[in-house]
Amino acid sequence: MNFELLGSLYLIFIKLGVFTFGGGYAMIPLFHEELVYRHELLSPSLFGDIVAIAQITPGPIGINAATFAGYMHGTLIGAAVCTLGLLTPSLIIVSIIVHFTARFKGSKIVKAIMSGIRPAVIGFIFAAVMFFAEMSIFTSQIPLHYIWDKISGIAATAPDFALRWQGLLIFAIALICSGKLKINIIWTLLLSAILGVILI
Amino acid sequence: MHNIENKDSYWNKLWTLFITFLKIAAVTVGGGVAMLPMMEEEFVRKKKWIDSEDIVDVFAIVQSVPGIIAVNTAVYVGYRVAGLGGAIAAALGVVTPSYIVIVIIAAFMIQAGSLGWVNSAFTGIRAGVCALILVAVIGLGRKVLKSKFEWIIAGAAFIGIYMLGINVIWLILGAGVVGYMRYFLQKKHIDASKEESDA
Repeated sequence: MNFELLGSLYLIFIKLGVFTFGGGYAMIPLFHEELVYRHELLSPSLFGDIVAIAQITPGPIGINAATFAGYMHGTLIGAAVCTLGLLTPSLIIVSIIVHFTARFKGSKIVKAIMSGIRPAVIGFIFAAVMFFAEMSIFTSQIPLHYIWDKISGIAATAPDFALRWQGLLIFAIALICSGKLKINIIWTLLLSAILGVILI
Repeated sequence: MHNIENKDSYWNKLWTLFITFLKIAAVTVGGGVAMLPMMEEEFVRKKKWIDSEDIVDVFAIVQSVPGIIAVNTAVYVGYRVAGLGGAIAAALGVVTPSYIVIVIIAAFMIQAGSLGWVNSAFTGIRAGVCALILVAVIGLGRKVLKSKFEWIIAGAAFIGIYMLGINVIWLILGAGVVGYMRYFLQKKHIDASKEESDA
């Protein structure tokens, strides 16, 4: 058993636990950045798969991602260590708050800070939309650098970037299913998976 | 006699907390606020451990502190009912279903990762998830983005993370500071105008 690895996994997930606000989709960019780019625990496409799986399996997305990343690097024990790491800050912070609940509830300072964080979280979730679009509707990341170079007149080679019409079609169908027809998330994603197998 | 009964009910409480949160987590897909109706049913109506006013506070508080909403909720209710032991029991209950299901799926995916149709299915699912998140963010945005201030912060957060690649942690801290400063500037403004009218 590699204790050094387990220790660093635990610390990574403690940090994620501290900086997760709002839960659900809002945590996707943070997890993406830390797990895929900074610590290279997961490949970008595997991360996308995990978030997708988290949508159709029980439990919070963050816990699912932690269990998954931990399992990939240290099987059952790794999964347990990452999950507990994510739990640790919640246990400490929320326990303290419940203890002093009356003082916290009316705190104007907390309300003021949250009035800034809450709209920022909306921006993060929108970034998560782009992140998923780049792995389904488009064939790669949107080449912002190339577009910027073009605008400023620098000659740049065109990157390998294209629209995937099947992805766009599935996106549109899922949008109608969920937004207009209010069909259950699980059925919408099951349909998306079937369309993926048929079309792509 | 009374003591023994209390001790017995303490462990009973821990077990009930663990099992109840396990059940709630097992049937809520996506976590978070979706847990609310089930918690109300179990803890307010059936067990009468907390009252319904409390449960609204739970959600207000757990969303404004760091951590995963489902876990924070479990810790909050668990602590309320049975102290730190209750908090730990409830938190472990919330993560157990995910742990079992994800471990099984991860083991399967290590073997099936290279299958073509699995990849196609996941590309389809990603397109679907993209749409689901868009629907969710539009709904949330209607509630949160009420003035120019909120729109600017949301836009800046998006540009910061997506176009400039700034670390999310810095953006969260920055947004918190901006919210705090705005409150103080407004307060100063109000205080100043108050003084004027007093004079």
